[in-house]
Amino acid sequence: MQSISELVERALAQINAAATPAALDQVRVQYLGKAGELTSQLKSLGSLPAEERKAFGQSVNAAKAQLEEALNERKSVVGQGAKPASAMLDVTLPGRRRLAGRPHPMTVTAETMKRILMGLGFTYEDFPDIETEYFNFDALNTPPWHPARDMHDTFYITPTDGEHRLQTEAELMRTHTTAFQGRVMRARNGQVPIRAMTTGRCYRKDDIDASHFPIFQQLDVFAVGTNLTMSDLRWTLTELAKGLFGGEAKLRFRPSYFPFTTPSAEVDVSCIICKQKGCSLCSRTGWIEVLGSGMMRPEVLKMGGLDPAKHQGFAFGIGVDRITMLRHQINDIRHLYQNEEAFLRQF
Amino acid sequence: MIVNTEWLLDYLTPRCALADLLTALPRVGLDIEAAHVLERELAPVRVGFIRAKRPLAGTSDKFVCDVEVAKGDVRQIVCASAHPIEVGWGVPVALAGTDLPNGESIGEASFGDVVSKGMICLDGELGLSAKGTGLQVFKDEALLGKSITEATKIDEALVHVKVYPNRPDCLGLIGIARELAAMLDLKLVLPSAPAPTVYTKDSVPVEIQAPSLCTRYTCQVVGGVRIGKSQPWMASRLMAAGLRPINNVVDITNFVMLEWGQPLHAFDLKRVREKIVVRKFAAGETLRLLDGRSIEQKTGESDEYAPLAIADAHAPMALAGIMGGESSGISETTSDVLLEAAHFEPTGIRLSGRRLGVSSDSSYRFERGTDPNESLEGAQARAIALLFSEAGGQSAGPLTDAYPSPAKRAVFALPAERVSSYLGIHVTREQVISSLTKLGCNCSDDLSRVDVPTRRVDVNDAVVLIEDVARVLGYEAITPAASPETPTAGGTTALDQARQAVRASLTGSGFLEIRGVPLEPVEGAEMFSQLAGASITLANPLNADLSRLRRSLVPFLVKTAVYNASRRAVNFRYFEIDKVFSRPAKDPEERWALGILLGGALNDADWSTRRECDFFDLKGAVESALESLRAPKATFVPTSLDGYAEGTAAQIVVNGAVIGVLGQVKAEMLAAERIYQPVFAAELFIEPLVAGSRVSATFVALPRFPAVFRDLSFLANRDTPYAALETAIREAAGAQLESVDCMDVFAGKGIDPAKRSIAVSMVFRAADRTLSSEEVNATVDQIIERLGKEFSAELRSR
Repeated sequence: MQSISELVERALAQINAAATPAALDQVRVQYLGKAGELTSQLKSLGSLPAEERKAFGQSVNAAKAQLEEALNERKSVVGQGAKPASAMLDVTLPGRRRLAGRPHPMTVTAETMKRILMGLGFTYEDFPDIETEYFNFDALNTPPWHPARDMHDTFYITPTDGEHRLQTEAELMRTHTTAFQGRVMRARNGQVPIRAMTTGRCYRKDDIDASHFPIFQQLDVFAVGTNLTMSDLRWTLTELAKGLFGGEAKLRFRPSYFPFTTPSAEVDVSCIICKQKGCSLCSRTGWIEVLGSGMMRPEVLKMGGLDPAKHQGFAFGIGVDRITMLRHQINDIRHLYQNEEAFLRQF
Repeated sequence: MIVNTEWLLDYLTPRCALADLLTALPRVGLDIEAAHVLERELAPVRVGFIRAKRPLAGTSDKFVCDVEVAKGDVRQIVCASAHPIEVGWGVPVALAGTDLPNGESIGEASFGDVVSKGMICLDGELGLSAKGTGLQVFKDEALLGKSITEATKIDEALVHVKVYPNRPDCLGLIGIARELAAMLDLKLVLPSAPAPTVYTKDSVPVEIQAPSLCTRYTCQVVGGVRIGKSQPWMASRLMAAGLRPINNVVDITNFVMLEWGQPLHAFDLKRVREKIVVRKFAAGETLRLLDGRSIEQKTGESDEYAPLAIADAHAPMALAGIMGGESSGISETTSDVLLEAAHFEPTGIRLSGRRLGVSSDSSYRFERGTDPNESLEGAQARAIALLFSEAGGQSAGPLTDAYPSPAKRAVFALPAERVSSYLGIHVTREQVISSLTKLGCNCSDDLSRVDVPTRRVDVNDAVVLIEDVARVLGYEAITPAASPETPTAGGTTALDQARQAVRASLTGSGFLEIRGVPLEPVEGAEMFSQLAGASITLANPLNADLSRLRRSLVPFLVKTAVYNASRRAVNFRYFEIDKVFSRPAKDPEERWALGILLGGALNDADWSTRRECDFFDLKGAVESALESLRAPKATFVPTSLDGYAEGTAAQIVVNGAVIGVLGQVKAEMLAAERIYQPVFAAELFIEPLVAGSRVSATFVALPRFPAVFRDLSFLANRDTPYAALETAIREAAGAQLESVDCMDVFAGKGIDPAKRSIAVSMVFRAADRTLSSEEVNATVDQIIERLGKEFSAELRSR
């Protein structure tokens, strides 16, 4: 016995292929005519055991109905003028669909940066949100007594019962993705060159307002070689800025301070909104602060198992929330975590 | 630090324009957090004329003034007699509703029955450095009601400067001026500090018993001071900097601290018995501090952490470097002052301050590092001179200077080539020498020796000097240039690629990616989590709602549906890719998860065949996501998990391991939030899928022979899972069965209530020949037999 579904499938294909009313009629005769293929299936009913007849009959009838409907539908397409206007296909009715899904705007920003940086030879890896005091601070030239620790209000993990951890092993929520530097260098076991990047959530005990959220996302990058210079850093950042903000983006370096870099530079990008004519986004300065960067401190290289006399490197870290807000002119950081559909569908 | 630019300019010559000053500060590395240009910001303050003045009832130091602030507009203003005022004077008036540059908002104030409608402002209150008496007085009636920025020329700014922890030398105006002088090619002017001419007082001996915590201690007596108010020029400068004037002696110590960055302390000499001893607090000793708090070194507590005291022969008088004691401080009866200028080790001050919870402008500076040499000496001499000129000092004692091992200037070698190879630009020897000399370093001609002033506590490596050179040259000199080093190929991890594949799959099926908050409340039943390990909580959470690291992505997805439902969304399709946290053993575990939520109608736009989503729509989304990872086919096993409605949840099993759960979110939970349509959620762990998925596919030859199609319909027991039937079909059919798909499931009318009808569509094919109808029929017979035997399934049609 032939499979009914196979027969239906074949018939439907022929119906859809028929370009004229005459061709369509031919298909109708081939399947539903007196000697048609489907009709003859019904004729074989008698040869079936009694208990199967009913079910088989039903499936043939269903197939017949399906083909008839398809024939009629096709007729309305090929039979021009043969129908009253009311039965015409109203092509202006909305399409049946789901609204398109979208990645979160922060994902798009981070992925854009990752793609540009991969093109510049950087390799991406993930690192833990729960860090040790050592990698988050000590290995970044910020020992416990260091006043720079005041710059990061840190969330600590409740110690598990009965376990005594050394101070440097105390667990905390990483305050910056820069914590990955020590881990990468340690894993590389003294090998250079290194061109590494990561992104992820960071946590600081900030109260929530329009520009602060206790959880934010950073993207951190560093490179170590034998003679990488501040000029290389500037080149890398210029390429990144062009990819992110367009070819006209200019950068400005300002002296700054991070315990893990010297020289340190705060980097401003030329205002993408007003093209440096002055607007509220850039507070009429023409420049917007976008990231922190610098040459890696000898102490940091040394703790990473490298020799500062032979190795030089640069590093930078970017706030993904901030760049996302800039790229889309979002005025309140809370939108990023509220996930209102009307917001998410804009990007 | 708040800097009044006029005060800052006292230390620079020739005078530089305000605009230049503001551009130069960032070049130094001092971030401008806010710059209040007073000419602009004082515009709302106007000249009002005092028409009448009477004492405020019940007070001796306050007056009620009638002040005409515009022609015919007379307001009542209460004025404290910080400065004498006279009827007929024109004075700066800030009416209620005015915001002053120092951040103060002027409002109406009540003094008993009297309501004051504004404030008569002293220079310091306006942020101005005073040139005259500390109150601008206008006599010209034509100025009535005019803005004071019209009445007088104001060329000052209040700048909030951010001094990073590495540069405590810039926590004094002289330090900032010194940097600006280097940047702008100006000359630094140090304040005059004439030494006393009369030495008739005794010196006070000093004993440093804790030389590791106190490197240098100097003190000197000034006799015959008269405690009173400071001169306006000093008081207004302190006010502009945000400090409250107290009395002339205390003000001098604060003023000099802001000037030199060196904290000072003044003792009332009559409270100092015999000598000064710098030592740790002994067990049982207590001290009442200036702010009224008491500290105590408890008996039995380790001496290691005992704070440092400035004691006399008998008892502690001050918490060294942090705060003075109440009883040894300056009071109205003080006539002889003992002035302390000392250097304390930063770490000791920081640890004590932290432990005791006490901090001050002094400790802020000491814990970052002060200069034991030039700045200490400069500040000491300046304060003594001011005690004579501003506090009526008559005579002095000889200086006591305990400095057992004087700090030396650090020496580094810094060849110009090293600067060039670090910055990546060509820097000459002359440029290096000139830059560093401007900042106070002494350089040998070949740069084999650069010695650095002791105030620069941050210079512990030659790279810091490279930064100094770059700052003086200007960071703009560092031009971009691509590295000549061999490039490496960039890339990313399999996990990262998996996340991207899953994201593409879900966004492609119309799901919105959301970003949740990884912290959640501890209270309440734990819902949806598949993690067995202990929870991880924060020791110091911001609030109770953000105190535990989340153990499932589903709660936030539900929260997102609720949030959007309140904004009239009816169809929910959300997903999130993030970590979930637990502690299965000693170490915390972070697992990457994919959370999906689906509810409402299948389509958003549908005017004809509208249908609600059900379990299988979500299951399909899960299967598509798995397919996008090229993961092996998943099986689904009924399960139950808190948060999902009973009987709706299933484990997702891949390669024999449970990698996730899906099910229907409990309706009660949603109804409470006014969501009445069924909502389904799933959560999968991504890492095990990455490990088990095929990295790259191997080609399988395309079929060359035709397929044979067969449909089969049968009645099976209602509780027989479809997957079991399919497995049996596959096993019975063997290799020729290419695929089997479920096309229909029907239960209800006309069918035994214990049964359901299942129809499948099968495709048979052989790789090496065309299958004959007879062969396939025989196989179908085997299938029917197997289904009958194993599940008592009855054939309905074939």
